[in-house]
Amino acid sequence: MASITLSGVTKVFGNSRVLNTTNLEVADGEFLTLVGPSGCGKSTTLRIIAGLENQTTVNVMIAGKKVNDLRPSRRNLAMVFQSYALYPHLTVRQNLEIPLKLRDLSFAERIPLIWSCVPGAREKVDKIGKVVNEIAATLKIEHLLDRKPGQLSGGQRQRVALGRAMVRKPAAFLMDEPLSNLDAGLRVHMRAELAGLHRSLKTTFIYVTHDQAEALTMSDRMAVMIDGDILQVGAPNDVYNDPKNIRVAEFVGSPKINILPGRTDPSGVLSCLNVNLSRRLRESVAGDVSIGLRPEHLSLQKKNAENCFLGRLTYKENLGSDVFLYVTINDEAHQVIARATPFEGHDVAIGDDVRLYLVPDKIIVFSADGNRLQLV
Amino acid sequence: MNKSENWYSEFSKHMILLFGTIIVILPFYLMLSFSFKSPAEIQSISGGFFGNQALMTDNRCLKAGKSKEACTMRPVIYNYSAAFSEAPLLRYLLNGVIVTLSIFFIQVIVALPCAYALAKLKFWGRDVVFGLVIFCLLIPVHAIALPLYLMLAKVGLTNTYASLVIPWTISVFGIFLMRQFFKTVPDDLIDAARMDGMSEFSIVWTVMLPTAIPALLAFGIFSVVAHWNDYFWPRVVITGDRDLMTPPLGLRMFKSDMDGNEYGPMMAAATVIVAPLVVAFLLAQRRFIEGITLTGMK
Repeated sequence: MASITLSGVTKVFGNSRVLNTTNLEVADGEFLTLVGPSGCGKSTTLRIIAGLENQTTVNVMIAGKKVNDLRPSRRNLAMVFQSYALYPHLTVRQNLEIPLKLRDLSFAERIPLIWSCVPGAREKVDKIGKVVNEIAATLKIEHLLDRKPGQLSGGQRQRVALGRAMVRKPAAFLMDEPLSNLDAGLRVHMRAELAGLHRSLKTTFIYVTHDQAEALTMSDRMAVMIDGDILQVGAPNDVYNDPKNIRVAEFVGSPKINILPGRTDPSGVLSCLNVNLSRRLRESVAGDVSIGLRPEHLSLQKKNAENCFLGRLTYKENLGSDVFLYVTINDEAHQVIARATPFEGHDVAIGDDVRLYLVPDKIIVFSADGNRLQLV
Repeated sequence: MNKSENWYSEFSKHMILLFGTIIVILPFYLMLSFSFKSPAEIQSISGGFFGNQALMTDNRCLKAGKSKEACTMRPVIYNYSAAFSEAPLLRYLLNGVIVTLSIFFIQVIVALPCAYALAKLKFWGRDVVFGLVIFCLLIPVHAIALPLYLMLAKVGLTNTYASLVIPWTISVFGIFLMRQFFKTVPDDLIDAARMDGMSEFSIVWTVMLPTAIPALLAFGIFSVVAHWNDYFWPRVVITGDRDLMTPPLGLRMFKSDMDGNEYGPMMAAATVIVAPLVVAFLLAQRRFIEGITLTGMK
């Protein structure tokens, strides 16, 4: 178990800067998710922590110790890869044994046939076997130990990859999109299992994903990375409800947040399209702003009321428990997505004129340059 | 395309292939056939593939003072026993095995780390080095034979196994082939090995080598066939010592030893020399094709 600190880490590939000055602190035992669209630098960050990539400048600390020049294997971290990266020519048992053998046995003790002549080697090998059996039991893969990775299903390989990371009892686990090669059902199942594993191991987890659902469901804290910058770090709820930047708001949440053009009049009162929101900004800035509205904060309204958009329903997305309504408003210049219950969704048909009520308390306002503006 | 057109195109395709096959097979057919027949049948081109196998008497054997019974035998037995008794054929075969296996072994030791570095490590000038490898593929052996010979002669290595092996130990073809294969091995696997604590050298030998077996087999077959059959280079560096001759060179010496046109024993010797390659190919056929198409592992 260990805390991990990145301070002022940057990474430059040739002429392009993939990682701007990055600071990140991961507490001991925390499950932190690095989430962002592909190419945002999250995997690079993870690889810098692992030592597989050299940072262009400054520091990586693990458990208070500077590890900049330490080789990956000396950092006492374990990594789970998207492609699992199991050794294809070794059985599951050998795959699980390798990290321990390389760490605990001397060169002579690893040579076939010779090892049994080295004093003390047998005890070490027996101990490794015992650890492997324990891990296999924890992950319920005992019956697979003699198979080769090629004979396993995706989910089974995933478990073996986890097992290989666990055998060393590392200071922290680094996971690089470990679930993205699994099918949808198994992914949801493994999400719960990984969260459970984290609870029982109480070890630091750093988890990289592009899937914001994984970030929202599993992590203690999530760090949203876009274009080489960590834009916001916080608990999933805070990031979802209180995004500090328009790009964070757009990335987190599915379906995507609705962004509509708004204005503030000189007294600081907000309006969105033609709807007066009767809310004010804390610091009055007259001019154009962007107004973010989550789909769940828009609802169908039968009667004419205040704070309503008029629009036409163009598409219904039925997910069973929810129905997402795609509505064009303002003479079809903007499209918004609203969440409705199945009953409400059933009542309207594509092409209908509908009225959407927006909850003024829930609006999120961003300045023209994308930063969050607080409301009074 | 209708059925008759289809039939026509299939037919012409197969005819062309058949024609090619005949051209390739014919020398082998003659070699095998001559190795079975008596000298008279070879001279008169009679007796079909296998000859009549009528008993014949070996005149040279009689001259050597042996009894008539001991010198009378079937042509096939005569040819093959002459092949082994007239020249140290087994010695030639052994030399062939020693030379080709040493070449292949050292080629692998050199090519794998080179290929790994060129495929998976990032270092300044990598592309230039790889360009040089490609460039070296274009240099014909014969162009550098003379300087190579002079160098070996200066250090006194002519007429040794070393002179047969050393010039071939760095195979740019091997480096190129293995580099192309290593490119298909996922980077994650190497990173996982690094996380597990392997050094770069142990990654080459314990991770890359086992995954590259299909490619290595293909390369092995190319290498072994090329050096088993090589006549040119052994002819250049083996000038006196008959104990060092490789099979093709031995075959040449063997011919000049024979009095007259003793094609039967010579073809029997040729058959014996070719046989190991044919057997090896048949055994490794599937692997061989797999290796050439490089679809072995993913």
